[in-house]
Amino acid sequence: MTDTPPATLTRESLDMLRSSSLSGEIVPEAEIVPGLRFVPDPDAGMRGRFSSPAGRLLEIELTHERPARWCGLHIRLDVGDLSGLGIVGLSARFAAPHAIAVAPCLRSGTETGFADCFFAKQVAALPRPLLHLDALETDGRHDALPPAAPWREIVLFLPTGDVRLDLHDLRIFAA
Amino acid sequence: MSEAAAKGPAPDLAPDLAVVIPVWNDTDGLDRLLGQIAGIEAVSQVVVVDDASDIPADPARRGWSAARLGADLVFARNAQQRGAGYARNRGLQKVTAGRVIFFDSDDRFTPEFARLMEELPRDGFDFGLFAHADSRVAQAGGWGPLAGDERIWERVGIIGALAELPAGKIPELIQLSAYPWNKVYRTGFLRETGIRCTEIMVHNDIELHWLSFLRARRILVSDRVAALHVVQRNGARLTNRSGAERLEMFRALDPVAQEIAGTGPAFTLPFAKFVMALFHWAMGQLAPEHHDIFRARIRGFLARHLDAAAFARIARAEPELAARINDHLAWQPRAVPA
Repeated sequence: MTDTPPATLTRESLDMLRSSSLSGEIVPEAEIVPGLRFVPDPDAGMRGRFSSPAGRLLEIELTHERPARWCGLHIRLDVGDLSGLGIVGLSARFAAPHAIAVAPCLRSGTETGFADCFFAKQVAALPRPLLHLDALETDGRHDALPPAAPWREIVLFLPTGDVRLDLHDLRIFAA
Repeated sequence: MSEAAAKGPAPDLAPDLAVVIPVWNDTDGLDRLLGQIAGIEAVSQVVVVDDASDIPADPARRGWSAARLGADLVFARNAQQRGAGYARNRGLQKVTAGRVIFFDSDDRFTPEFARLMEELPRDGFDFGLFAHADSRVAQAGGWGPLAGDERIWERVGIIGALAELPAGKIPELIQLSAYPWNKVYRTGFLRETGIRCTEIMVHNDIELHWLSFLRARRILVSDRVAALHVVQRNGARLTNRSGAERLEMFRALDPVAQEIAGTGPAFTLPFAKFVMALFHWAMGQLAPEHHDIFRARIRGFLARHLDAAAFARIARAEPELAARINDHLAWQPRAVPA
């Protein structure tokens, strides 16, 4: 572990959400802001809307015409090389009218596609949001977390039914 | 596919919010609050009403001016102490802004308040209700209201930075009991409907809260925790009062009960639950020498306002609550030995 202060890995996309007022329809695979997009099961007929209130990231409402196998919110990370780092951490504060769980993972590009390394804890979204903290250690213990990768992103796997979810805050950092 | 705009107040919209602050012997709290207000762009007017503090709480004496606040500053002082209700009403008369919030000198805004004001419209609503934190919850590691109000928020199930409250949810959310002045009002709404605080020493805000919900046509709700209320046990805050002034609560409850009777059955049970919880809480606060007169007044209040049909509705929905009401109606003072 070094004395280097933690680095924020998603500064551009999340800061843009915090500082601008956005709203609109969610279009699969289309970026809402640079580096942030929804990737739903293409066979599920997902539809949705989003808005970004002051000081918060996103309020989203999603519906599916058919049962979905997955629905992910993908956020590009500004880190490829993990050598010299000890952890990649995540803090989140989500809200939902009824309790739901969001499963975060760190996705790394590989020669054959990608590898998903899931954080140990799922993020609980409750009517009154709670601070969620978790971290992945980068010391080689996770097979799905290669030390070098051409690209990485955080994927938040959302519930696959109809969902209302508010992302008050999300920070991805490394130290 | 997204529509983007810079956050913050639109440049052509001048600040348009008055903060009415009743204060009594709390210049330090007033100083702290004015310091917060100076950093909130949306505030255009500050009205301080000193309820006859021992040492006048004139902000100018502490170096506050309109220039330093970035807002018009109005100060008034009551010749004798008349309570926060009278002070708020007096302050409201002086408001020139289109929106108004009542805020006590020991209340604190959180950073969420400024964000709420960026999004709250200037017109087309009657009031906007926001969430709050209680210092007792914060000291226990949480961030929100006390458990009873938290359960109400959860049952209502509305989340989001700003949403319209559906009419069907009003009978639930109206039961919020702590810090009921956590609202930004359209000033015209209060004036058009004649809603005021009850001019009594404690519980002055019951009428303001309930009549606002009952008379509003459009209510906005935010889950932003925009205020922190600091409670010090055994402090001078009115919450801690245990004297006969609590017996005046019926001056606030009677007009609400009359309005409830005219609004239909949806509010009978919520109001019964509210008053019974209030009676229980106040009995715990009240000094023992006032208990008999309090119980007599509770009995009279229930007899005045609960007719057979209303009681039957309560009994069907909550038999245990109806039984407690019956206990109050059947109460008799203890015989005094000759």
